[in-house]
Amino acid sequence: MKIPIITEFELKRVVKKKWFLISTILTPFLIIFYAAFPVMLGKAAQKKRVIGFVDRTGRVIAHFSSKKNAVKISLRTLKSLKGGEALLDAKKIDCVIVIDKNFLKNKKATLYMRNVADIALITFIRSTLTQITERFELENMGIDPNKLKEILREVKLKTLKFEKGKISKETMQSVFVLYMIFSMLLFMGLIGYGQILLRRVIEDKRSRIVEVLYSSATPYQLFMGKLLGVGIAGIIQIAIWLFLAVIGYFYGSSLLPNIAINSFFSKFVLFLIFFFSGFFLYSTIFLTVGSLVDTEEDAQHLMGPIMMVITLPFALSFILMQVPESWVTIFFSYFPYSAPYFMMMRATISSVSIVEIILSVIVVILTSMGSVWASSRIFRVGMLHTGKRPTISEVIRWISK
Amino acid sequence: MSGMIEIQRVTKFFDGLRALDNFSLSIPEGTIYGVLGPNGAGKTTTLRIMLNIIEPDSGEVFFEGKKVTLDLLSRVGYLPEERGIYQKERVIDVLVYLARLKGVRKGKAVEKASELLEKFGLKDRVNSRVEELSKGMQQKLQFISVLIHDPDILFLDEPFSGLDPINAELLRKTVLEKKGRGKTIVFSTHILEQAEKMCEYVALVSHGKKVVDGKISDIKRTYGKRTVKIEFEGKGEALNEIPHSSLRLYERFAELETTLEINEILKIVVDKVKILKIERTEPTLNQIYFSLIGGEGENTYNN
Repeated sequence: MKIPIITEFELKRVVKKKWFLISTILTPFLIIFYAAFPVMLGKAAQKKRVIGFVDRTGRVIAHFSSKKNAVKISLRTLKSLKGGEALLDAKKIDCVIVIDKNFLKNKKATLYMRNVADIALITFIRSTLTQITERFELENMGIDPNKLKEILREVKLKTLKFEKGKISKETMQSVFVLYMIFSMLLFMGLIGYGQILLRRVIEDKRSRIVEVLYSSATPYQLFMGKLLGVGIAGIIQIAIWLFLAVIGYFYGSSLLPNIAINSFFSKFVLFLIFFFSGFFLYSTIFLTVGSLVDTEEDAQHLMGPIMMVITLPFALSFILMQVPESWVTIFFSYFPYSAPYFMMMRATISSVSIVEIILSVIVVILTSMGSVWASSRIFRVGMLHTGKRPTISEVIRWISK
Repeated sequence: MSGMIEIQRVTKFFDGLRALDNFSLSIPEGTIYGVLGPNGAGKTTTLRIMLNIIEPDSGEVFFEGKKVTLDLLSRVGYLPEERGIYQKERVIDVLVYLARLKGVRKGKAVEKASELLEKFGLKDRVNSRVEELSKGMQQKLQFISVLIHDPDILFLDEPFSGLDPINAELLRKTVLEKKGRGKTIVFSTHILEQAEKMCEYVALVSHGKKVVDGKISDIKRTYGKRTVKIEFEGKGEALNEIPHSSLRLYERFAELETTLEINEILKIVVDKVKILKIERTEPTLNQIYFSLIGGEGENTYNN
């Protein structure tokens, strides 16, 4: 059997390299960084800001305050904008608000800032000033602002996930993070390992070692050996990440607070199934492109539009996350190229029956088998073809011949 | 005699162009066989078809009377014209991999690789990456990769192109050593002088067709123009009396093509000129090639 020999060699070619170790260690940090970025942004907004206040009405400043969870501020009363300019330059204050005499009538104020991109602060000042004008107007009309607030208070809706007859403790936020992690792993795995395959194939073709290999093994054996070798390298890397994730889980990661460990593992099994079947589906695209071109440069030209198309399911799954049971989402969870993302998403966000999952996996596997067949036939001829890039009709002839 | 390798009426098209046209060859066991012709004549295609790398559109290839299979190909070593080898991998890994693909067990492959690396003076490079080796060393590594499974048949496509004199000599010796052990060597070249020195059998190829094949000595006897060189004193015009197909006459020297034996020539001219020296020269393969395909071949070469 030659496939295991080829698989072993191709696997070692990937895992015995320095970058494999580096990417295995770096990627979890990158994912955590992406997942935790919004939280970090929120933290950054909590830095205390010093606001210079020129209040020509003399009535606004007393009501200008910040409640908990909002931006932290301290106020500094200024007589005029002039005094504020020096303080702004000296970085003693972050901004100056100028409230004109008829502010309560025309609702216009001016904000002078050193950093006009501080959107959190701008938003805070705008809403606080709006509340103050509302308050004065309500008082003028004889309405108690606190009472009105009570009347307008929103209903609190507790969102719990219902799955298989049980109420799960998972919240929207935690399942989002979970899907984010799995879909990013899926995306990076499918595209990343596909690109490794692309480079390998081009190397074999350009160095012409493929001729020697073709006199030792069938093109199909070489094709499958490469596919399996690189695919297993991907599985090894993900297994290492899983190991790190489990450690992280037991040592109290705050990212997935409400996900039960068995729920996590069932999602992980699903992920592995979709990764491996999806891997064949996506990798055959890269293998085909690799066997059609002579250089990596040619490959980049051809891959450009293809990359845009294969990134689409990943991006779309986040958009359609809000409607996990719409017909569009259901359609995409059975369409082979998007099924890995969409089934993962539906299984994580809402609940999906096992039959639906099996059906979707079958669709992916069948399409994978078809594309392995077609791609290996292109590979067989393409690897020996150099010079002019073959036309589409030639490629179709290679498949059918 | 039926050969160890038989190609029977093979035709192959590439993009509508006929690369091989009803091509047949018979390669006897234990010989050095040269497939000769200019670039583009179809030599590489012939080799690739014998190696099952590409399939012919029609016709068949047999090894020892059987259709070519991968099992049979495990007894074959192939050195392609454009030689490449994995650059980023370790020398030993590449050799063991290629040997295992030919059915050699892993342990045996490691052993054999070390043995050959030592023989070719690369012993201390076992764990180097291929890209760290000089071009000459990489060529040696390629020879080793062809020999590592001790093949019964070697296919060498333009093996001497790009080799430095040291490696060319090394390859020549290796080929002769293999022949000495009863192995069969098939090689293609466009340098006919080279083939003439090394091969016992040749096939001359032009535009995908076989022009002639067989033992070099037989070909020379059959197709060689029988050139006779004469050094003389006296009136050279007398040499016109010898029946000939061509005659080049100089002041004291003549070159003529004739089917007559030297004795018969002497009978005709012995009283007319003073013969200083007379000899029959053997035609070179080059001459035979051009005489068989005429100006067409010359154009091919010049292109």
